[in-house]
Amino acid sequence: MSRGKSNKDLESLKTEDVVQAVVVADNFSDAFVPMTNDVPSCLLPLVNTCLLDHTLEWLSNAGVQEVFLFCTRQVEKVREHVKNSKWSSEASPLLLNVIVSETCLTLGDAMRDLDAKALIRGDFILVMGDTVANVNLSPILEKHRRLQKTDKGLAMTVVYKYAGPSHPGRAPQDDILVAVDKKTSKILFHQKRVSSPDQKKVHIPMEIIMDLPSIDIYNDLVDTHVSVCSASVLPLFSDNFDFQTCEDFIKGLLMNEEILASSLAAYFLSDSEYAASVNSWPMYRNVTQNMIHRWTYPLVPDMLISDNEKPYQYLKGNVYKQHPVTLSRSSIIQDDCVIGGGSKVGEGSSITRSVVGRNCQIGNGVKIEDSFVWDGCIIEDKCSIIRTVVGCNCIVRQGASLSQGCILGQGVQCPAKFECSQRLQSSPGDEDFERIGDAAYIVKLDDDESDSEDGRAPQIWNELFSNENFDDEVDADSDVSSELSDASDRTMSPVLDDTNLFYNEVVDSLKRGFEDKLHCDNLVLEINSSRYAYNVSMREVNLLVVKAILNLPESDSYLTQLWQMLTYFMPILKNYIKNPVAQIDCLQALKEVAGAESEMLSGVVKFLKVLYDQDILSEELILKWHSDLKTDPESKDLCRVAAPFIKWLEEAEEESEEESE
Amino acid sequence: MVPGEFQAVVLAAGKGSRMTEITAGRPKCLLPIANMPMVWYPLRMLEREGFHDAILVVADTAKSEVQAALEKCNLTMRLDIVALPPGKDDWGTADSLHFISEKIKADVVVVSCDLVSDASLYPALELFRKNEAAVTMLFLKPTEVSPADALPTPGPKSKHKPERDLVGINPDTSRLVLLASVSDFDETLPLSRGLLRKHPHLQLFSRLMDSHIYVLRKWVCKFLDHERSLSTLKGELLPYIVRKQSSKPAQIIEDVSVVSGTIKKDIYQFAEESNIVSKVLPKSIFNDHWGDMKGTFQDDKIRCYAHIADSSSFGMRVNTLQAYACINRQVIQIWEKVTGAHPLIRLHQASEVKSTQVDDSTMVGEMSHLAEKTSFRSSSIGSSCTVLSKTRIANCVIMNNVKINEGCVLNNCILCDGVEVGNNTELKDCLVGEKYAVASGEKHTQEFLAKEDVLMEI
Repeated sequence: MSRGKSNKDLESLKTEDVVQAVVVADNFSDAFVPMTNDVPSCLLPLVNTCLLDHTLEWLSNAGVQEVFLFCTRQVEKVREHVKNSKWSSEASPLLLNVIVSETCLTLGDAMRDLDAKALIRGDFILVMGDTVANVNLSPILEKHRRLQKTDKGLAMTVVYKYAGPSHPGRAPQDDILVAVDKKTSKILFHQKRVSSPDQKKVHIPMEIIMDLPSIDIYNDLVDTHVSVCSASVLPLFSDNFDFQTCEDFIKGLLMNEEILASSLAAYFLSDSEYAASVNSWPMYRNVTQNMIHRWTYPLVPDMLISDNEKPYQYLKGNVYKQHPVTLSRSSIIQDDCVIGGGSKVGEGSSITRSVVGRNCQIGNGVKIEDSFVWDGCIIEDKCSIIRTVVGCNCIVRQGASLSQGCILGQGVQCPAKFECSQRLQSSPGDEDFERIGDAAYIVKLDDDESDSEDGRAPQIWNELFSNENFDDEVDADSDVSSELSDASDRTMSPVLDDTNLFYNEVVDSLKRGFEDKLHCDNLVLEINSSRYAYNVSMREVNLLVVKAILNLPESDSYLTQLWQMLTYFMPILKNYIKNPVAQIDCLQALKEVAGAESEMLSGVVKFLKVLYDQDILSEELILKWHSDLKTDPESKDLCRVAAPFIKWLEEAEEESEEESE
Repeated sequence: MVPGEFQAVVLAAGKGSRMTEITAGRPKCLLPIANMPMVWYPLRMLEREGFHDAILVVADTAKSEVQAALEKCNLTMRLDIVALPPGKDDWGTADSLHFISEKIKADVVVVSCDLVSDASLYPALELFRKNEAAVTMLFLKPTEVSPADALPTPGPKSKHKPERDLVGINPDTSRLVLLASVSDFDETLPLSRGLLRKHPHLQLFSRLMDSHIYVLRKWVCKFLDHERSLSTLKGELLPYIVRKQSSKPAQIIEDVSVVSGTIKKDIYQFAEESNIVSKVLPKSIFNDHWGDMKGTFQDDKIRCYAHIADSSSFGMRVNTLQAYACINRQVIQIWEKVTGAHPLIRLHQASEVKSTQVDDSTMVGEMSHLAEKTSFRSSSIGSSCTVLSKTRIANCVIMNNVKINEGCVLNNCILCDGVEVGNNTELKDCLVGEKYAVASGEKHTQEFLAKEDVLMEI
């Protein structure tokens, strides 16, 4: 009997395996240059605590017992940080193993390396070292194991968080679209917007739609970069050496589902749970805000992670002050601020929606808004720092003005009265960066990179602190939605491109018609059909047809040709120009063409005379048009050229009046 | 329901083009289901849901027949039976609706004559009211046929491929975002990002059954009047309106040339919100979505909604031979649900049943005569039929004036009006066309037996 019991104990031990997590200490990108020049990205401070500590704190809270910290860059710094932290103390709830592999350039390399080292035994949790979260991992693990029972090939459960399309927590490089089978939580389709071949449309394979009674398409998810992996994930990476990123992995698995016999599941966080990976400046800003607003509770500024930290005071308006802070009497600290211990703020300075690190010296009359000032900075009097990141131990001299996405790398000395909205670093680097001060060089952006991402990269550099780009995108998109699904849509609002296309088509029709002596009625039909094809408004048709006729004649014998063409195309003109509004369009066309091409000027009188004789243009409108021209300085020439005809018109009018009398 | 809020229109002018074998003799809407004409089922449903009047649109030749058939059915609702004028051959559903446009005074509930369902209309009407919708559709989850129940469809084997709809619904708002036929797409379904931005969560269904119950705003009928090129509701009008939800009104063109003809009024000029809604919306803090700064309903003027009845409700569209055979087998089991406890007349008073072996799911119509020593199982027998002794009939649909002689065995067959079956004949899984005489002693399996002229037409 006792034997049976002990067996049972053994079994329960087996099932309650140690929960293992792999923390990747690198984001394999240069999103945080120049900050990451000598510090690995996971050691960058977020609200005065480094990212890695946030991640480890969460993992230990969430019940992870063993962590493999995978380092690739600046390994010594990570090692040292870990050594001095509470994670390597006796009392640490985590067993922390540091794994080093300096040759890894991608996540795929890291996974392959881990596979080769054969350290992981079963299911594990894969997170990036820059994750801020408060998610309880056990339900996710449970779900993963439950699904594993029915689907032996389940490789990974990806954790997603809901965030609508315009949510600030949705970084452009992480904009994804996922299709899921709700019944089995299986991921069927996954596409990152950045790597999508078609920016306007998403193409979902019919196969996956037809196979199931219903599928759910989510455009309101954010990838938290947290996932639960089965033991098969590492060999999968080894077998497919082209898997570089997590996205490659997901895509490859979905594409070769049968061959690799592996599937993916999705897990959706509830509204009260928080998880985000700080892998770009917009995310850095967003997560900081969320932390100050306490969405990440218990990971909030006044909850101390490290033991030797001084306590924070949490005041109204989400202002956090760490002991000991020296604030002068007339300084103003308001709205969502964190001030680190040992910092001093001078007279008349104001700090709004910003984070200031420890031991910073802020002078008098300084203005800091929407900025991040890291530890040990000295900001002298009358500086203005708006939407800026100031790295550790920077010195900003008197009267400097930093704004709009300016980033100062560690140790930069910004000269006095300097105005800047670029990235600066303290050393000249390998390339010849432009020198601004003793320790201040402008970081040049890598051109190759910006090309490779369709000119998107510079945008990302710029949009760090503004949402403007994002708004533009929305507007551009709403245009797309107007032409929505297909060409059979009959009444589209005219688009500029269509108008141009229509114009070219008209020119072609007329040219061909004139050369082949086609009947004008047929040409009218042709023009009308292209008008419908490109959906051009009637007024634009009038304008463009007249323009086309005026532009047809070659420049060498413009006048004679114009005469021939006018007589030939008269039926067309008569067809389109038949009421006052159309006449105005016609005259407008004349004005535009004459303004652009000097040859036309010689033909103006002829054109007006012919159209007047044919009763296409009315006297009244020509006179009005001319008087309008007089006030327009740009069409001075035209006005002068047309003057004789106008004079003739007026005289003729007087004559006819006299006659009638 | 507020009286006069909705007008019900039952479209029953269809010819049954997917089941021509059995519709040669009578209009589709009068095909018997449990000895009741098919069109009675949707009418009964409307009655059950509280409608007191309905407009019934039928083909020109069928009006008197339909009228006569429905008079026997004890409907309490007032019916206005409209016959489409002769001359034109194929009337689309939108054409039918257009034809009665003068009678349309309110928002319309359009029902097809071939629906047998117990689903409630209320959720769909509720969506329609609540969101000031242009169109609301009702979808049903297809009922799964248990394999034990799955008898083959009578007649020759056909490679019947059901048409499938692709339906996209935003589950948060019930907005109908996408409506298309699966066959419209080859390999991929293109979805515009703008659309996905508006409806970040989209459910795509490929196996829903369209109940063909459409709730249409009055202006949609007006638009239909104007836009005569749309001839069917399902195929053309609805996909068009669904697509129009997300586009913007075109700029108004003031000028007209003679060649281009008159100005085409576009749909947005019809889509006018009622006075009260346009006053309430700007003052209300209600919003149907979150995550952007757009107004309620994303500032869309045209809005389509769809309700999916839960899987417990039954629904079937009897527009194929397969469905017709299926509904006849099933209808007695679900009679209570589908008809709202309408009394079921199994054996008509004026029939003469001498047989002792007639099971509970067999129905016998007026003036029919069943001789002794016969057995009947799960079959429905129309009026004025004669079945002579020593005959066994199982799972059959027998229409009117059929004569079955001695010693026959009929299993899973459909016999149309006026068929005569000779002595000692065995028919299994067969269709017998109108007035056809099956010779004595023959055996047929999975065949379609009909006079030559009918065969030619098919």
